[in-house]
Parts: sequence; structure tokens; C-alpha cells
Amino acid sequence: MADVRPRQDAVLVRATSWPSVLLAVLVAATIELAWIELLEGPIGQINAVSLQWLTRETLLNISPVLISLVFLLRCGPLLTLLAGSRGHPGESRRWRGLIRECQHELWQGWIGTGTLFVYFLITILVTVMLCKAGGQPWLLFRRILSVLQAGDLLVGLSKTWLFSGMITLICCHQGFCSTNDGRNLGLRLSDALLFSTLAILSSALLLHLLVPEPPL
Amino acid sequence: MAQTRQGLGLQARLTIGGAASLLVLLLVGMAQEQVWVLFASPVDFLTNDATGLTPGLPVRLSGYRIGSIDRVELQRNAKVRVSLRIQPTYRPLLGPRSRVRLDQEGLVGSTYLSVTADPRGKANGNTPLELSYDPPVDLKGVLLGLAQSRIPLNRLLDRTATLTETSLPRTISQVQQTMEATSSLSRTLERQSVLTATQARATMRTYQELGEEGRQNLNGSRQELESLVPELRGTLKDVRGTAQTSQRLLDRLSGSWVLPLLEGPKVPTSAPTGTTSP
Repeated sequence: MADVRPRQDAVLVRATSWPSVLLAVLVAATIELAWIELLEGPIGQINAVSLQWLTRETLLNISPVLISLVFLLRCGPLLTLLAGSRGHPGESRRWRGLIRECQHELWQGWIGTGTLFVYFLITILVTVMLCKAGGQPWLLFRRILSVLQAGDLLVGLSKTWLFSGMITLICCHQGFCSTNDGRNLGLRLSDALLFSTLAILSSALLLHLLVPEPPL
Repeated sequence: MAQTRQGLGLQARLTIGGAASLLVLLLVGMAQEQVWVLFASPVDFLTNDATGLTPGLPVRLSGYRIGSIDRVELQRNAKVRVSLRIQPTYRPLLGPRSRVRLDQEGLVGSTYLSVTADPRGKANGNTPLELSYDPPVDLKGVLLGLAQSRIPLNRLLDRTATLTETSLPRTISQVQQTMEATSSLSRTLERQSVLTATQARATMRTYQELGEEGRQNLNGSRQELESLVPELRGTLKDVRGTAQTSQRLLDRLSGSWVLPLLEGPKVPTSAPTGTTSP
């Protein structure tokens, strides 16, 4: 008889499955194409400054939000259902207890979103290289590598992890607060998606407004 | 939810492993391009205007990339210190006389820092180096000058157009008339030249005949003169002998009594008033 209990690494498996990676890659390519078209403007050519600005904005502001939305779309319902299936831990209503209850999911979410972040970034580089290389893709790739800042990479990854942690906590909290009623679980699930989206966007906006970016 | 407790799936492992590998490759590429591992001494320069100078901007020597901008920092004296990451291999090519300039590929191409070489800098390859920075060309000033020069240029073009509209047709008409007159003149000259050539040829022949006659006359005269010269020489010799004889005769006569006789009696000259002759 098969064990019907959910696997412990279900969130990580779902976050790193090929549909998640494919979704992240397609979103990255689409966003980057639109970004390049917008950036080129009337000149029609990207110079070093605009290329650096493009990579910075993509790393700091766009990638964390989009990767978190992909993670929410793929793993948000699963997180809510997993938390709901565990019953109602008494300490889950407090933040410290919630974090202790969800620490395993948090680690899986961070590894999963970190993986998606790398594929997202590589897709962006390849998209720029293939679309704007002008017959010299390796040269443009080297130029992007020369303007890509390790600090921006770290800040973007930290933002992604912050957003994925917020998603995990919100979804798990909604799951813990649900009852065994299917209707109630559905309502909690929709609330989890809505609150997570609001939390991501508002956090990104606040961080962008409050935290000054270092000059180029 | 028929999931079982088991280890991480192969797909998840592949995905995470691939991401880790790509991240490592990306970091290695960034480290190589941005020269993270720097063993050479720092190279920097000061400038009053850091417009366009951003970290990561390529540094090129003779068009070849040798490094990039590391840091751009504003100093307390309002100057900007720009630190460069130069690959250790090419670091000895720079010296105290190297100069830095912000350059650009074409008109709208990407910008980069251009560094000139200083071969004498090999001796100072391991010491900190502060280069001189040449500010880029003030594009605003160039455009302003261009706009100012456009006004007299337009005026000149207007004058040229006016001149072309008014004077050029007249000039062309005059040139056409001149060409027609020249053509007519050439035709006349062509006609006259036939007659003139005949007359000139006859004249030349006459001149030739006259010349021949003159030459013959000259030859005859010379022969006659040559025959007269001995006779003249004898005559002159006779004249000279006669003159000598006459001279001798006069010398003899001057001491004889005949000469005073021939001259006649002397008349005394009147004395001045108040004087007595002795």
C-alpha cells in the first residue's frame, strides 16, 4: 500500500520542474525583448551605459518580482494545501511559530527561486546576445559580463529570496487557518494568492522607493 | 495526492545542478572579464567631470581591451577619483606619461576609456600610478559653434543662389557670344591664312633672291677692297715719304735768311699811354 502522505520536498520538486523553468524562461525572454525595444528608442543601438542600466534594472527590480510571481503561481496553492493538511498547530498564528512550522518550506522555496533566478538571468543574457549581437554574439556576451555587477546580482537574489519567503509564509498561514471544509480551503487559497501578490508588489515598490540604488 | 516519501527526483537534481553550474560559469566569466583577481598595482586618475565614467566601462590600449573601470568615487575636494582594473599582463605598458581619454566607437557606438602606452613605464610596473585624464570633446560647444556657423553659411548660400540666378545666365550668354565670335574669327583666319601663306612664300622667295644678290655684291666689294688695299698702302707710304721730305725742307728753311724775308717787316706795337719806350 502506497504512502499517501505528501513528500517533504514537494515544493522544491514543483518549483524546479520543467514547466516552472520553461515559464520563467519564456517570461524572461518576453520581458527582455520588450525592455530592449523600449530602451533602444530612436537610436537603435545599445551602448555600454544603457546596457549596464538594462542589466541592473532587470536584476534589481524585474527579476525578483517576476520570479516570485512564477513561484507563487506554481507553488502557492501547494503550500496552502500542505499547510492545511497538517491541521492547526497552535503556535502557527504567531510569526515566530509560523516560521518554525514552515522552515522546511522556506528552504525549499529559497532553493527553488534561486534556481529559477539563475535560469532567468541566463535567459536574459542569451536573449540580449541573440537579438542585439549583430553577428558578434560572443563579443556582446563578454561586454555584458563586463558590466554585470556582482553586487547587483546579490541584491537581486536577496530580493527574490525575500519575496519567496513572504509567499511561503502567507500561503502557509492561510493554509493553517483553513478548516477541513472545501469551500473554506478554496477561499483561503484565493486569499493566499491575492495577499501574496499584493505583498510582492508593495514590497518591491517600497524597496525601490526607500532603498537608494548606487550610482551607475 | 499520491506522493510518497522519497529522495529528491532526478529532474529536480538536474535542474538545480544545471543552475548551480551556470551560476559558477557566470561568476567565472564575470571574474575574468572584470579582472576580479588583480595582482598588479592600482591605476587611477582624477577628473573634474565623471560624466560617462561608470564601473565596468572597458579600458582599451591601441583598441585592445586591457581592463575596465573598477570604482568611481567623489573626493572631498569635489574631484572624482576613477580606479582602473588593468590586467597584470598589460600593466607594464602603462607609465607616468600615459594619458586617459573617454572615447567612443563611431558616433553612436559604445563608449570606452582609451589609454596611451608609455614604454618607459616598465620600470615602474609595480608602483601605484596616477594617469592624466583628457576630458572628452564638449559636444554641446561643438553643436553651438555649428549652429552659429550655420547662419553665415546660409547667408553665403543665399548670395550664391542669387548670384547664380542673376549673373550666371548673362555670363553664359556672353560666353556663347564669345565662342561664336571666336569661331567666326577662326574661320576668317583659316581663309586668310591661305592667301597670306602664298604671299608670304613669294615674299620669302624674294627675300632669298635679294639675299643672294647682296651676298654676291658683298663678295665683289670685298675682292675689290682687297685689291685696293696694297695700292692704298703704297700711296700712304709715298705720302709719308713726302711728308718727311717736306719736314726736312722746312727745318732747313727755318734757320736760313729766306724765312724772315718771306714773312716781311715787323710792325711795332703801340705802347700804353703815359709810358716811354727806352
